[in-house]
Amino acid sequence: MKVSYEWINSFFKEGALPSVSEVEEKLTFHAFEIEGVEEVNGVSVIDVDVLPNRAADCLSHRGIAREISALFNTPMKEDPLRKEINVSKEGGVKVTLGKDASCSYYIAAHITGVEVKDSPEWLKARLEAIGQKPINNVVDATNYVLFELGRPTHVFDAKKFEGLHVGTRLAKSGEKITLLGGDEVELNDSMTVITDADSDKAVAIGGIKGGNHAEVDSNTTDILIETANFNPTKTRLTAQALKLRTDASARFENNMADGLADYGIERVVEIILKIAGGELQGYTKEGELDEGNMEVNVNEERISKLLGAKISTEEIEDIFTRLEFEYTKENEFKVKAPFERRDVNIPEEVIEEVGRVYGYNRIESKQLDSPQREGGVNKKYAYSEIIKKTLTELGVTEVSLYSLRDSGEVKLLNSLASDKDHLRKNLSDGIKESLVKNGKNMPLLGLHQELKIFEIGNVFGERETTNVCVGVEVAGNKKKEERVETILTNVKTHLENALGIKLGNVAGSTFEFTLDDILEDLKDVEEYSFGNVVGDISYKSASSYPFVLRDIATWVPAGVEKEEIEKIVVSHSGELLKRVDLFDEFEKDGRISYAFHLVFQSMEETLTDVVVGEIMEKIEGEINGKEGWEVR
Amino acid sequence: MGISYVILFSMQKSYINPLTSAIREIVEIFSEMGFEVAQGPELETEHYNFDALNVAKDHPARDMQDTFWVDENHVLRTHDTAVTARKLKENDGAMRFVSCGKAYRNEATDMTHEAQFFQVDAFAIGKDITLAHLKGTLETFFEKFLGGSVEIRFRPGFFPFVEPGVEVDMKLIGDDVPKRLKGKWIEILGAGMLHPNVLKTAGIDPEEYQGWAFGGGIERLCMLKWGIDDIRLFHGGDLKFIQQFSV
Repeated sequence: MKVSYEWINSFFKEGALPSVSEVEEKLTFHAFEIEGVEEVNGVSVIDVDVLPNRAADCLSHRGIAREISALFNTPMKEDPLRKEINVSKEGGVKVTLGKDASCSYYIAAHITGVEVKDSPEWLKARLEAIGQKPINNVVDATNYVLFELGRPTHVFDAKKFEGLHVGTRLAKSGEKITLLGGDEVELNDSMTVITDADSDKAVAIGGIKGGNHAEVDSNTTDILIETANFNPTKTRLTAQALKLRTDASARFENNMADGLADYGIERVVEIILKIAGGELQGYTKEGELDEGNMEVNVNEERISKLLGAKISTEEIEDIFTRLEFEYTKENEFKVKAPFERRDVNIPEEVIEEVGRVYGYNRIESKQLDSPQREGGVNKKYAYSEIIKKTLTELGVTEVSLYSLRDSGEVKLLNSLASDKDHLRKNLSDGIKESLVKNGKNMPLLGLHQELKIFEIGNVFGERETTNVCVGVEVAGNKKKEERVETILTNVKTHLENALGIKLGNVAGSTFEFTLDDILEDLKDVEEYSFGNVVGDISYKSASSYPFVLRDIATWVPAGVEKEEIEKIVVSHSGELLKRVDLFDEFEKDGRISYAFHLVFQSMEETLTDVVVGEIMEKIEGEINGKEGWEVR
Repeated sequence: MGISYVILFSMQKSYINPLTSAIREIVEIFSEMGFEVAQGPELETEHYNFDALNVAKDHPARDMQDTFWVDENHVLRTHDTAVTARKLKENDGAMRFVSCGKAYRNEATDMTHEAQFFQVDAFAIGKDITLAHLKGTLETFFEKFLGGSVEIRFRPGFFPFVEPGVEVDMKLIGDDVPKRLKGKWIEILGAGMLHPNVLKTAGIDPEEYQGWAFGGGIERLCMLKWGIDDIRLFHGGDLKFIQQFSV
């Protein structure tokens, strides 16, 4: 939520509010994360990420000012929620609350003779600073109170009602309402509407948005101001269903205090009378307000015991005072939070308040004692590790693939996309796709003969199981299936030896089995035998450009090491050479033949034959220039 | 050229999936501190994913995580904390568990968001386990996992299954620390003291036992550790990526 520093400052005596950066730091470590600070029309605007449990009382300038006041131990000049309210003058509006509608309390104010015009500059400036667009003085007054006190209110043109009679009821299924701004939405019978009761026409969606039927316009003279308490959950579900999350609904769904209603309406009335004139005819109330917060009993020792820091009685009491908690202390503290706070209902929530105001950074770290309980070995994890270790040592590389696929036995009710709306029923399908993808890069990967990958992961059919799958691809088409089968069978034999159990059959290019099914037959493990972890590497992003493969075969005199040729290759290729892999070596008539795969790739562009050709020419040139050396 | 020369010619290397490597280290470090390894299903009941963790049906916190639903009562677990709920239910008394597993969120993917990801969740309960022990445990963990010397900082946070809830930042200092991490505060985990409702639901008396829990993304830990910039690389199965991670 965006809050204006200037607006916050208006709650404090001159010079009492610490600087923007001090406020930012204090809030960060004791209350809320700060998303950022920006300057808008010369005013600092702080974007505060109010935590969900504080949305009831802190989605407002007053709420943040109160928080700052507690954290800096600096009193507010005047707190609008601590003054006497007076909404007792009875007016001529009639309110009828529908039995099923989720509205527990409704207060209406009736003002006649207002002049609808632009708001005064100070009000416009405050709204604009936090990104709100001024509309007219009457509407702006309700918006202002929303951001000042966190209390949504709504204003109707009273003369557009048939009689001065407001109702609430559930919407009819399929009932339509045109909202302020002109969008029409269709309602269902779980949603609450406000009606012009005499005509039964819906004039607003409760807690969410007003309709255009009784919209205030430049000719409006008589207005009806509404503040009502709507059920938080129903408001949230309605806003979700209509995809209409508004500043109002965001506050209702967070269960703000019932008692805010009267403060909100009185404040709106006060501002409208000041900036739009008119005469207050009176208020009408229907329904009940809840009883507010209950006392919470907290054992003093428990506070320090949960937080792990010794906090003195004086400091605890000081924190309660700063937070304006009422408290008494006998054997235990009895603590009651001010009415607008909705998040202090159990001892642990009181302890949280003490902890955060005290400062979590003052809690000194402690190491755990030795455990009381003998920790056993998790057999499934232990065997996953044994399998991973065995396969890795055989040069099989582990991949992690997606569980969401285009087909399977378990379908999601809601999905990202039609190709990701099922849970995988096996690992093989993913492994096969991965073989194809990686198969295209075999030379680049230095895997000139064979590509071996595996995955251990969960699959979903009748039940969820953890499976293991190995997949193999080989270079060239000659006797391909045979070669794949030989490699897979060899891998399988190694796994069988490591596990001490027979496994199922190789199927084409993959071999998959269910770990859960053999787990019982595997012997117990005394302790984990962890495989290697990643060494001291320096990670570099891979190039997204295609690679170029070239081979080179050479004759050199006997005694020449392959590294000498490799050095020549490297010296002419620079950064573009990704790999040089020896694939053939034999000696004949006092000469050695070395053959290499050279793989070129650029980080910046697609390499052309011309560029690679020039490099090859230089390499070949240098080799051919040496006594007894020759490129074949 | 000297260094890449060495890399170019060491052909017979073994490559470790970075997630496996990170999980190995996490399990090793926490095992030494007396934590047992826990696992649980990815297709989880609504009960263990939400209700048992104090996220009631109509709680707005359910909106915080975009959930994949399988049927009316089953979800793809949105956090590995579901395993914590199971272990609390299965066991009595003092216990410590660590679990590393896959979780899912129904959200658009980008460089820092994935629909599937791995999480590490750990918890310790006993008669006098406090927020101070959480700080100490995390210091030990990060010092061993990332090297160097670690400072841990808590800020207020909100997660329905803990009370108090904290956001955890860490800062690495020392000579061995990679430059990109050195001396910077990094937001790394969510944590807190297990909510009494969570303990009660599991049949544990919150007057007698208390403890902490934390959870965080393993890909994110890997990204910090190795300087990886895109979370999507972890599950693409591309060996060009995995071959960067050699023993």
